[in-house]
Amino acid sequence: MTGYIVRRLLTTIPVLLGITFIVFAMVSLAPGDAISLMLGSETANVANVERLRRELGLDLPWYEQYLRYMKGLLTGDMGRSITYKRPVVDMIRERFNNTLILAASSTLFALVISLPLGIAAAYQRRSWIDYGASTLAMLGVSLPSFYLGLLLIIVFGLNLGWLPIRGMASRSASLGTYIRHLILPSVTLGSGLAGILTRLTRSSVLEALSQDYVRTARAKGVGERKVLYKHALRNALLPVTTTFGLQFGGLLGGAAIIETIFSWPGVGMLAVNAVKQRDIPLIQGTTLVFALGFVLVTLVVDILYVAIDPRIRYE
Amino acid sequence: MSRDMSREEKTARSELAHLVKVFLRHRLGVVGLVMLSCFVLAAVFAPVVAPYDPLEMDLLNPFAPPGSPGHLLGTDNYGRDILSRLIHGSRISLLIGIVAVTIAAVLGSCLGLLAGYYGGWVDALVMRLVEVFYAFPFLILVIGVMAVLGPSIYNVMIVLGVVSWPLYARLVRAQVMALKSEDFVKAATAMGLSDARIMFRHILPNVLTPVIVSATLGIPGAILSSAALGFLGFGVQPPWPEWGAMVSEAKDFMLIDSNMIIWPGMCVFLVVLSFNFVGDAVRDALDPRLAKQLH
Amino acid sequence: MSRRLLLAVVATLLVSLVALPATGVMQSPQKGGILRIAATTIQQLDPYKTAANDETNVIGLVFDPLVIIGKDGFEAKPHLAESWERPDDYTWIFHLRKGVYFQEGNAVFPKGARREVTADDVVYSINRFMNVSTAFTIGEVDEVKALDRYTVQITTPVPNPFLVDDPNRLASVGIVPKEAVEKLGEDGFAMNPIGSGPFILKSFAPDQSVVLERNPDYWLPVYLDGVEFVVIPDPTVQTMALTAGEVDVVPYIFNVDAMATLSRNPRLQMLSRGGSYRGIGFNVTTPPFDEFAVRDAISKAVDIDAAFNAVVAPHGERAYGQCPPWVPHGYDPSLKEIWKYDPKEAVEILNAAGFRDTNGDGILDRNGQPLKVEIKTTPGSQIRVLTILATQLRQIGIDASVLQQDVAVWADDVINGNTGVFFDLSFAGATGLHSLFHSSVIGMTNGHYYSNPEVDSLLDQALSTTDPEAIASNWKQAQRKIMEDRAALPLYFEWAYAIVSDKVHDFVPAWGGLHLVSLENNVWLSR
Repeated sequence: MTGYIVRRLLTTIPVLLGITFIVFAMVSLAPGDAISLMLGSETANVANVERLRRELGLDLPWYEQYLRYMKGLLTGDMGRSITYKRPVVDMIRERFNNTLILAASSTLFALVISLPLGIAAAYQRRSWIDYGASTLAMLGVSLPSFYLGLLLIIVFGLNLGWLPIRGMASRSASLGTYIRHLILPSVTLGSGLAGILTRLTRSSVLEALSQDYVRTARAKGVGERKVLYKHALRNALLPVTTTFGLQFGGLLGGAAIIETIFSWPGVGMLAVNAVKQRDIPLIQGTTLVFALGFVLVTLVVDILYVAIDPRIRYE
Repeated sequence: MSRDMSREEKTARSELAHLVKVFLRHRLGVVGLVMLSCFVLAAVFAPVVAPYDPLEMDLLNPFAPPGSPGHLLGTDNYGRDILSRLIHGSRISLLIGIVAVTIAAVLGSCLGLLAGYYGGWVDALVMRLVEVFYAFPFLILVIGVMAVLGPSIYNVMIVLGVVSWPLYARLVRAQVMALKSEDFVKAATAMGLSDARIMFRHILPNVLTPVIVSATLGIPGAILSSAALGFLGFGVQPPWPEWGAMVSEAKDFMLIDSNMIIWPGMCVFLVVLSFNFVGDAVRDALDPRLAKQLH
Repeated sequence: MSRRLLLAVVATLLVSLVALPATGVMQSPQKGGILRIAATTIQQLDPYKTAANDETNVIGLVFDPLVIIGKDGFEAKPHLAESWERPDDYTWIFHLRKGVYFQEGNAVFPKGARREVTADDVVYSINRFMNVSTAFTIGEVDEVKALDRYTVQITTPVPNPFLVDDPNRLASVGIVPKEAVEKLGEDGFAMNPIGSGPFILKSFAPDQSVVLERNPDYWLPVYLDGVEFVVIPDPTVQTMALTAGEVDVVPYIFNVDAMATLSRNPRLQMLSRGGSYRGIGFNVTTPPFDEFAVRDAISKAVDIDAAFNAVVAPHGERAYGQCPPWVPHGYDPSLKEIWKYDPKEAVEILNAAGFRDTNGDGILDRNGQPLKVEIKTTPGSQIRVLTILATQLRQIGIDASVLQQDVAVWADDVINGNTGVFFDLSFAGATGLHSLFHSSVIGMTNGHYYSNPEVDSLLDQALSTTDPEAIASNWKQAQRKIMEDRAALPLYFEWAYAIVSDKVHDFVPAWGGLHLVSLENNVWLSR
């Protein structure tokens, strides 16, 4: 098992290298840069801006910039944001937890909704539960998250005034306030995943229920509850786990939109702003962190897979 | 040979008839198909159906509520007819969805074909590339590439296409690897046919069906992404009536008039929903085992 | 001038509305309360490393500058400097206020440190500002020197008439203590700013919140217990938060459309101060816009009044030149006579220049090239105005469109001359004409690539004299010349607004930094 994890970690290195390279090439090719933005201001101090450009190495050819960047990365230095004049590492560190909290609570929301719903739907096939679950799942999958978010803001924030429509609660706020701030963004971000997982849970449970071992268990007089939990569910969870891993990237990307709508101070919003301002080090840093997060989650999912499925052993 | 062909044709035809039958049994699939047809008709005949020019402003009549005389869904902040904009917007969204997925499918299939057929370092290279692309959160990558190319409707198509190819590459690669050991490929190789001929004339037609099915299923995703890009300001630019961009514009007027926000978002939702309904039905039709379970 | 007077009257009216409650009885200031101000982004608080309005606002409360731009009119008023004089055109002497101390109870100055702000601190600060700031410049400076403990002298190689009155020059240099920068380091200081201002930083979470509390030792009474900046990136959500009572102040309104709704809310005050120039700029070196006829025809083909009335009015004023009403030395409403809306004549001019619709597609062309106008712009309310103008251009057969760009790309294109027609924006009233049209700054701030020796010399003369009459006459002549050349098509001045809850009293919108406590105003909250 340890060997497997180490091997998996090693294979992510070329992937991450590839990502840094693609991002760097992408941003170098992109029109516009943050320095021009400064120079364009009518009040700019041109001499100081040019000095900043040299200090940041932005006058070097792109491959030298890339080497410089990679060298820094090895020592945990992701460069300085051009726009905000702060170390990128600090900026990401401040916001990383916020994105993680949002992603986790969205996932939690998705799981809490989808697993029971999917199982119930499969178990009571063609009942009103089944149709209801399918409809809800379809809604979740088809609703654009930015639209859902705005609708929730209009209904629950503006018209009913039940929930706060923006931002995180401050650090000193009570747990209740904190959770209230989390509800709308998490529901918005998690609804798509909830839809996908509901459908998947339903079909995997259905498939598991039709397998021979379930029939055998039933024939042997094993109680329905036990059949469901012990046999059907365990096998049904495998595809759900894998899909979840694959969907997590979508969740992170979606965070960029949701954070922008709900003023959630996370890495996603930072990334979107960085792109708008062509803040190269910041784009690099945020993208890398997203990719790293995704790669790690995939790894965890793979390990979970082993834990759930007794038939697979990694030597 | 010719007798074989006709038999194949016959089975193909009856298979198709069966598929249609299964599809039609799927009630939501039919609903989806009807909805989708409406959107497609609206898109094709947009200039005829739309009551106004989607860019025509009536500055004296902004924020007209739905049901105002002459404006079924009201007007936006420039006094433009919302319904007309939505109808023309269906052109943009459907076009982006279809073209983007086509680009992705063509690109991915070619790379998958090469990887699967040649194996070795070609395969390794393509698969590493696939991994890198998979490791990117999709939307972040798309935003990045849009920044490089600059926002325009064509770039949205290109970017969504270029970024979604790995799915098809994987699919085709797996199929090709399986087919390589089949007799007809071995025979073609033995006959000394060129690699290109074997790949494109003999192998490709056999992997086309799953590619086309997953491409169709990929269209709603592409439409959602293009709307999200439009919403974030990285996609189709105003004044063009792209639905996502319309929601983004409407957001600034949320306090004044929520009518502007409701409709374009609803359109994205309905198009994606109808695609998903149809997709479900097609999947059921193609997967007899699952279909049997459902009915 | 009458416009300026009107503005002053309106401003005074607004201010008196604030001071006088419905009963008409003057309320006396109450102590206490936390003022909550909305902000878009706050990343760091080094006063010299920012151009962002929100950071500048926080900085204005933590640090004291030598001068503050007065709330009526736009002239410098004493702050840390009690007075100043100009013995000659090249020398400024500032006399500092005595008994002002840097904030205490932090890592640098313990309680009771009694570290007085002296001339050495001013010298250090101005030098550091000149070395560090990328966003602002105070103009050319030969030397900054302390004449004694409370006197500072600044000498300049050329006269610097705007040194104190321009909100982006000396008024934006908050005085910093050398020890703090050295002890905390550049990055540390940006997170833990220490100044002599009325509020002390209590906590700072970048892009979330900044909490300030009253400086008990300040040289003026401070009514508020503290100030909290609440980061809300979306401007629409900021106004919602204000309506919902989650914040008390939205310091800048970027969406003129929101004004209509907000102005109906009796619990809110709209305070206007200054604003920005918005126009259409031409790159006069890009064909076909290098031809006067084309630029002139475009200026005649658009009904700017209609667009302005549909989108901006009453929250702005039509512009006929670049200098806004609050820049008395350049504001010239008489320029109105050089502009004309006459689409017929526009077509005639274009026809005479060889543009005709030869292929019947409804677009004028010449030598097989259609006449294309792509207006590059940043996102914002101006898009609506530009869209209307583009529609009008299409009506006379010009293939016109609006291209919305990310701000960094737009800036890059404008600076590098990669434009034909672009959205022209200027906040710097006093020296904006020089930044936008002087040939020495082509490729930097002059995106028009406009080079006219006559204009250069007029601007140079204006910037090297101290005679207000000479400044005004040179400035206005230069402006008229530029406009007659159609290097730009002025559209309108958009007022800048701060929206403030009716609980807040004596609030003055930011102009070169936000100041809640000064010799001119002292903000307090009614309960």
